Amino acid sequence: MARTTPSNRREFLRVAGLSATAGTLAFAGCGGDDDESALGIPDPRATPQRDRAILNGALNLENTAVAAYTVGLALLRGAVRRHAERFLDQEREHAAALAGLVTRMGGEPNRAKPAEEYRAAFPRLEGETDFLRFATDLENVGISAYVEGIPKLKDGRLRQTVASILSDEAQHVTVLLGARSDGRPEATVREPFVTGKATA
Amino acid sequence: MGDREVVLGLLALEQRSVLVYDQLVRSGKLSGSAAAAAELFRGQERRHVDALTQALKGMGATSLPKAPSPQDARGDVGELIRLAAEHEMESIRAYYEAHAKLRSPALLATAASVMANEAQHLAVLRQLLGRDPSPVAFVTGRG
Repeated sequence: MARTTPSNRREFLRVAGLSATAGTLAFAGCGGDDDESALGIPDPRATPQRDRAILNGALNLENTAVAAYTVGLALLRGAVRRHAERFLDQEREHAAALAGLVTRMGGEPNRAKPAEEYRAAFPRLEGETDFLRFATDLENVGISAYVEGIPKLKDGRLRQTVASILSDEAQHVTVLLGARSDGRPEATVREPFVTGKATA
Repeated sequence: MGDREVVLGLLALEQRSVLVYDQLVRSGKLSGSAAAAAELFRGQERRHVDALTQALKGMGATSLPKAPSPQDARGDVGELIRLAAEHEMESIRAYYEAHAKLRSPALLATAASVMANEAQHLAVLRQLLGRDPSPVAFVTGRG
């Protein structure tokens, strides 16, 4: 069974335009904004420029999720596939909304990478179980980044948008964990504070 | 409205959340996954109450809202779960609004992680009602 090991996870995050350091996820961005490299440093001074860079980092996550669910659909059947199809649509909605916000803020939205580049960075996925584990891991990466990113956003409306996306990703995790287990609530809603740090 | 007032409002809501799930647990009407969910979620709502209470104490608040008195749950299992789902929607709306008002980074991080947990509760409750657990891309507690 293929698993998202620490080493291939790092590679996957690199390709996604993200970096993971010392257990915390920092939006690294991959183009456009000069101040994106500073996003991993805890800093209470929020600015509109940094807001834009954070949203562009979030866009990288969403583009990666779109690529992952696109790959995953071929491995899934039945109810799980129907959930994944809806999640794919929702990730596309997130990406479109974030790209629109970056544009309205005067920035250049980060573009999705070629599908092959994502595919090469993903772990080997041989079936439904592999994909469910990988998708849970990926959703948790996003959740972790959003929980850390929200306090850094200056604009309250942007915080609301990101929180509404975070909450959708949290629901995805619950459904994915349910598909991997017998559906017991303890297995699908694991922690009272959703941080994305729970193991997949 | 300052952070303290926002958190006071959220605490009152979380206290009601504990009550909602406590009523479900004590009703004796639930079984299987529904009973397990009610018990699990009651415990998680208590953790939210504890966290917000600590945050308020850290802000120097001396007067905290009192927990509402327990009441008997009325209605069949479906109605009870629907009521819990409606309450979760109200909680999510409150946290969504709080994200625009809160200033403290630590409180924002807590609010984000709690809102996501309430969204998960809602997903499970919707599944118990035979509905789509995640029907919208932007979870705001509306619609």
